[in-house]
Amino acid sequence: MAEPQLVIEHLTKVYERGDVHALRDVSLTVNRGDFLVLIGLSGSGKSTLLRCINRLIEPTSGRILLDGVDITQAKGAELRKVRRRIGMVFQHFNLVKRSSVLTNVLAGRLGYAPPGPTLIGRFPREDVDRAHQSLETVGLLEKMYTRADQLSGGQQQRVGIARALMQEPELILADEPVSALDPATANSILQYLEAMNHQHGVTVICALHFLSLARRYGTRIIALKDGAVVFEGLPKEIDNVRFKEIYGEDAEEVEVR
Amino acid sequence: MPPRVGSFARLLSTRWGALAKRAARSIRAGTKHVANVWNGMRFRVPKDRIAPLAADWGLLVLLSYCTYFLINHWYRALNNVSAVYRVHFPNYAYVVAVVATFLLAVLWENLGTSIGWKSAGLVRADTANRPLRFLPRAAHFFVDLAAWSLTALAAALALVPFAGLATLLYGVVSRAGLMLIPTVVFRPLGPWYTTFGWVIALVLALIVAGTASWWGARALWSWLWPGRKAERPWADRVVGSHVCKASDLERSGRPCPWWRTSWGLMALLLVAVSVYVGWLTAQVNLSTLVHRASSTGDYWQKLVTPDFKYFLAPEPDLHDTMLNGIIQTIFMALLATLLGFVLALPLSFLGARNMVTKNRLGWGIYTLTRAFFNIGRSIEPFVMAVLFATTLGYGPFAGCLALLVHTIAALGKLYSEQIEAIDPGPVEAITACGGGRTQVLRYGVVPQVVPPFLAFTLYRWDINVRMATVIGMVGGGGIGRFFNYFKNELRWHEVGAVIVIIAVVVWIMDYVSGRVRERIT
Repeated sequence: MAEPQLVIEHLTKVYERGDVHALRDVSLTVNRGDFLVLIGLSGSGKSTLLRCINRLIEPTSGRILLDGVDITQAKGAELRKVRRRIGMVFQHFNLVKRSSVLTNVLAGRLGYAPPGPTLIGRFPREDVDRAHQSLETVGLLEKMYTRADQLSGGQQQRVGIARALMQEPELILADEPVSALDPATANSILQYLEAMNHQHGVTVICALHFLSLARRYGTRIIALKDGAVVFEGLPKEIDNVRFKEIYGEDAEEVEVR
Repeated sequence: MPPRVGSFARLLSTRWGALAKRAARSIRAGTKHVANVWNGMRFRVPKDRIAPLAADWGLLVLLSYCTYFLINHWYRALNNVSAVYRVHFPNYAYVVAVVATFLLAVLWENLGTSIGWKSAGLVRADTANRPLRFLPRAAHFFVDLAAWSLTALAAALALVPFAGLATLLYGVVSRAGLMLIPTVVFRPLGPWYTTFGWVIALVLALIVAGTASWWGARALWSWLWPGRKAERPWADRVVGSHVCKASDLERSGRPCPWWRTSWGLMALLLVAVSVYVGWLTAQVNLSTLVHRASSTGDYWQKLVTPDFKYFLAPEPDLHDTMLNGIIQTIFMALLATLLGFVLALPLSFLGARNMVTKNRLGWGIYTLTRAFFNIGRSIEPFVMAVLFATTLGYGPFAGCLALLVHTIAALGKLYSEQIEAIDPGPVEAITACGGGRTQVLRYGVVPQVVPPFLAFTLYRWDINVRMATVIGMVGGGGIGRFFNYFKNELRWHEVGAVIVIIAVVVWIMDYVSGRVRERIT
């Protein structure tokens, strides 16, 4: 079970503009089948860390090994092959608002589909079937031809998850997937991620703001502060003292159920 | 062993090394503005410090031009002479004016809140973040004046080798049978232009010497007092003040009403003076308006009784009907819009900052494309039509070409601004899915920009129809040809008909395109 899937070694990111150290020497290991939760204040480097893993942001130094292969040097087609194995779910869903739900979901298949036909909007038959399946999984099959911006926030995030499902990912990066949603919807979204984690063994790395959600869904928790790892362990190990360490002296925990 | 603190080697190794490194890094990153920190505030030097000064200087130059204009005007009015007479100023007066306006700008920025500082949102405050009182302001001005005088002196000294080098070069080059270009250009134009050349040289030297002494003083300071930041100007040090954003100011009491502040007074003065000078320049004459209006009743009467005889019947001299003319105009505009759309589309992606790659080649392409857009837009299609009609012959082709060039530039600019304003989220998402460059464009960018592009294109067609009517008057074909012909023949009934046709078509286009645009966006 404890087979390391993602190994991050001494990852550092410095934003040139303004000399901001977003990540300071972050090293961590994620095992296959983990539901890893990243916590920390806004600006602590959670998003930067997630985006370094699929190279949406270029790390300044350090290595990222996915299944033992260093992906920080990947370029061109090789990089695209790495990216298509890693699904991503975003805080603001990042759907193309004017396109239909189906087109948005099919876009998840762009890493696999033949590039020529996709330029005129053609996808292979099996990809379209797969899109129907993923939409059924998230319960939005009847909204297939609706424009994405006509859905509610929770529904849009479910489309985002269906898009990630299309990639048949081994790893899902979720960047605060529920911050823009109400508590009830937040739970249902995280349950979809949990289901993928349990049923298909997909590793999930999820940045969250609420500790109660982190405790409930996470199998492991990593806390970042000012770009450095300040805590790594099991959810139950975060007590009041650790909480204050991570969030600062003045913080009070807020419960979300 | 590290070099001794304060030694010259250390100065070179640390300060200049760091500067060079930072400059190299900023060039690599494609950033133009290096942020400087004064009292914990981040300033982008060109935008926050140089631009306000340049604006104030420019406004004072405008004011001094208006003064020059009015002196001439009153001289002529008092002596009752014609406009060819000018008050004679010695050549060095222009140089004096440039320097004096600059010093006045410095004075203005010190003693009050100048227009430049007001628009940049800057104020000078004391250590308690209260606005500076008058006496410290005055003290600040004198120290600043001294600093700038030293800079001007340095500039003058910098001019000496310039002049020497120029003389030397002139000797060498002219002896070799060649001439130095500025001399060749300026000398035949007379003494005024030679002076103008020196004014340009002086401004350049001021900039060079100002920058050099700025960095020089910084380096000197950190050499003499290592570890201390040398980021506050001398005048601020002496008075104990600093520059901050107006929003950070601790204000007490009622704020001064705007028309009693120095920027408000100056703005009022500038508006009043430029309206007066504009009035004189445009030769506005209200009595003409009154006494000519009464004698043109016949003309107006003909205009408002339009004659549509040649709307369907061919005009014997032009061998064409007005209906054909207006159809030609509409199709000219349509073709220019469609071709413009097709050609502007690929160009707009090259002119969008977030689409071109962030290396030097990308910046080059971006700059070139943007330059083409700006130049193409700044030349009126009317002017282009004259040029094309002269080279290609009169007719709709020349007009269409003129419209096309302008359309490409205008649409390209609008499109690329739209592309720059897209939501980066979908682009990020498609990239994360493993999409390639073209796929990111097709699925992340294009769906976001299609509706605004269509709206812009329709709007452009509407504009093009209006422009095409005008272009016909300078030989671009279409309905404008009729207007021009009838006007020259003084056939005012027919001119009235053309005006009605143009107005109706433009109004319909405006209405339809407005409604369609509403539906799209």
